[in-house]
Amino acid sequence: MNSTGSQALLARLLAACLLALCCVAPAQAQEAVYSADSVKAAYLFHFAGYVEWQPQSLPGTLTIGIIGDRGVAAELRRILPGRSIGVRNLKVREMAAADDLSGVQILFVGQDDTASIPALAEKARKLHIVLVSDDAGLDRGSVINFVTADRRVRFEISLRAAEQAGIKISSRLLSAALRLKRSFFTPRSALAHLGDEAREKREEKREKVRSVLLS
Amino acid sequence: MRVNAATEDRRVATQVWRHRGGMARKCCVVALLGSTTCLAAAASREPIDMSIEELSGLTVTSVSRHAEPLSGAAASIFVITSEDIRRSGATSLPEVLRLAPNLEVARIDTGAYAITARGFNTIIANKLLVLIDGRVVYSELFGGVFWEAQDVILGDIERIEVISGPAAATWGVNAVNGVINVITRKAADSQGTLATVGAGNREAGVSLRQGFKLGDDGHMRLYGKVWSQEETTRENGVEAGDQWDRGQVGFRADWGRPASAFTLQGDAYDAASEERPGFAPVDVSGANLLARWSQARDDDSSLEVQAYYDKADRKDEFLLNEEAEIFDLQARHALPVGIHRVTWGGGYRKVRDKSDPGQFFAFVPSEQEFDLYNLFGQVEIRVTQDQNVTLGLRYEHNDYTGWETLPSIRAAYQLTPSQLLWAAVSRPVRSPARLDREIVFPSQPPYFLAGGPNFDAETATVYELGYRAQPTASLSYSVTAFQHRYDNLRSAQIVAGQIFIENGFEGDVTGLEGWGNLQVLPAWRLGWGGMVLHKDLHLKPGANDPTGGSNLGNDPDYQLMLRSSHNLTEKHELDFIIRHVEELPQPEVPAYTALDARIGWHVTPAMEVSLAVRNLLDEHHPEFANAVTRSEIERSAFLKVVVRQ
Repeated sequence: MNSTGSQALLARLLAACLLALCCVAPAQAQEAVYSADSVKAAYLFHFAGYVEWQPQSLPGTLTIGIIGDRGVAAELRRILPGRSIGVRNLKVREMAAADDLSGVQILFVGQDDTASIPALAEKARKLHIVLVSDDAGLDRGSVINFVTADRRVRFEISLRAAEQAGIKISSRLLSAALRLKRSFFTPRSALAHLGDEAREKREEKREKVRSVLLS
Repeated sequence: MRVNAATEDRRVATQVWRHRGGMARKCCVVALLGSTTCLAAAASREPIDMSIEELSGLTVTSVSRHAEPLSGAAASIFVITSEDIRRSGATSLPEVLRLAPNLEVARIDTGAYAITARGFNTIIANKLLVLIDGRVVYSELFGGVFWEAQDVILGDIERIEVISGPAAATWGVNAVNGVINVITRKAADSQGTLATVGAGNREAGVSLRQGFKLGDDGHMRLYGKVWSQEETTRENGVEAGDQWDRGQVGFRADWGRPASAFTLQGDAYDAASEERPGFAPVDVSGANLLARWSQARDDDSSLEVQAYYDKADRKDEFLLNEEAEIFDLQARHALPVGIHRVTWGGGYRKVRDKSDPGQFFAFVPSEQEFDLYNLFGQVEIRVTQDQNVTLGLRYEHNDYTGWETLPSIRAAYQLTPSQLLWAAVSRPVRSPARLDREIVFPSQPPYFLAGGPNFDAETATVYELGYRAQPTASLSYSVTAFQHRYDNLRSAQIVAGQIFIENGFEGDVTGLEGWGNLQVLPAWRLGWGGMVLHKDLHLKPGANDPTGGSNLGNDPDYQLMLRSSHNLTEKHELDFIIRHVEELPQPEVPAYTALDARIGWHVTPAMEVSLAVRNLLDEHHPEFANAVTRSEIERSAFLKVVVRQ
């Protein structure tokens, strides 16, 4: 083969390799990269399903309050319509740290308002609200805290704070947590009547509702 | 089907690009956009559609704004996170430690480093306590670390806590100037595959880790690593012959839940250097096994028991030979007492240490067996909501000086939710190492230099004042002022033509250290740090050491660093570190400024490619030791591919 011919062959081989790489890369990129806000919003939605409040008399619609994080609030507004936890719908309410917290079941405090968590924790405890903080540690009084590290958003749970707020957390959520803070109560007391059966029933209902809404 | 559509789009795009013209270019852009939206449609599953477990595994884009809770610790602690390690381009543990502004890290040659905190840096630096997952890694021969023998899979380090200042009441003798605590990930946080392949002009290596579940509540990881490093060249142009080849395997297994957890971990390694003309080849090998059981109870108390066995051998005819076996048992119990907290515990350590005579040095007797005991207690008194005082006391018994007492008082005052002021007074102790009492030179009598049979423990009284603030979510900084007042520091005493090792020096080391972080933009973070040191050592009455204390350590007046971490795009990142170290006095080593850079590319969420260049600014510079025999640390580049599944 003459030199130009072999050059052309080489060029074609190179092009084929590059194209192959392009094919392989997008094929693997099926597992895409997400925004931290969307992951946090998804977590908040799930928390509503794995937490049991006391007293049992909850309103027909669960409210997720957001303080100081417009991104997560916007994400929740986008994804909540059409989804429910069991028979209850969810809605978002953007709030300020000084607002009245009654009527809120889950309260998420963004990183900028970390300083107001101790005061909010006081109020949240009395109203049995699940206080969720963002990269703020569990020492300020939140029940759940998001931990972002190694490009992943995970969460840790303070069982003591949950107990003080009269909230019971399902074993599934505890297992998925990155860390649990200190006092770990015996399985019976912390997970009372959130047995597998009850959880499975709730999940079944959720799946049915989701499949009906998304089909 | 979607993949083929993408391929088609790209073929169209390439063909169109060949015909020049604005129109063609526009078509190309449209084609590319088309293919991207095609791919976006393919990834239509959103976080809200996933389960809680799947959410934990998703990769997110933005650099978190890192609003770290203001630590309430009454100590000067710098934490090197796993992200810091990944983005630094460092390929070994000593290189990672350069990230801590409160450490002096000087590279001597390919494998040897001089590392210390707050002064007294030498190849046998002995005032730092280094632990890897609770296992102490210093040699009883000289009370310091053989850095050539310490290796971990960097990607599996969760964090490194670098505490400068005495943490002796908590950690024990040798923690006079600081503690380095390397903490690896729990097995549950290192599941799946982590493969690293890298090569550069100075080193190359492969490491592989595989993590998997063990039954219902257990996890395990296994790893293997092979690494090869090139030799350095001396300042006088001669090749140092210090190439290193190393291999290490190990595992970690964790069972149970936080209430009751059990860990078993171990490593085995073998590494050797080449001939090293003028010195001697060095061969290190060893193995260790550690078991830890911890329990957290409903009454908010916790209990931890740890035991380990460590065997470390070193063949080094020029410097120090050693065959060491250590068995260590420690227990710790923490419990609340009202609003306060009490921690207490104790431990036992058995050391069998043998050192065969080398070319120059020997130990008399060559073999020793030690029994070391320790007992400690710590009370954390919550004085008010914002103030607490911690009283600590530790008793340690060693076979040379008997019982040593290490007290400390630490106080922390939370001025405002975002400002903490702390102060501490402590009395750390460095008990004699074998070198202080039993070393002889030459290795056969008559001896010219000998360890002092009455060598006493080195002591210090340390005063520290620190301030830590986080005025906004994006800015945080901390500053610590310290004064270490030493007594009974090692000296050479000339008696009738012979030299004995005695405690003839005393003096003060005063300084300042600080660091900070600023999240300038969501995708750009800056970090800075530095340390200023002033040493004032003098002979005690009756002492006649002629060196002026230079054998105790070769330290710069100050060192500074600046770090920039930038996410160029969602998939590309750029990091810079500029570090400046002032000149070392004795032996003289010129000041240097080094620039390290790393560019990283997340090709896919599972694969990361990076190119790290170190010492960009100069071809080579020395960092330690005298001009005749020291090595030049060269500019180096390293290309690395990391695959995570």
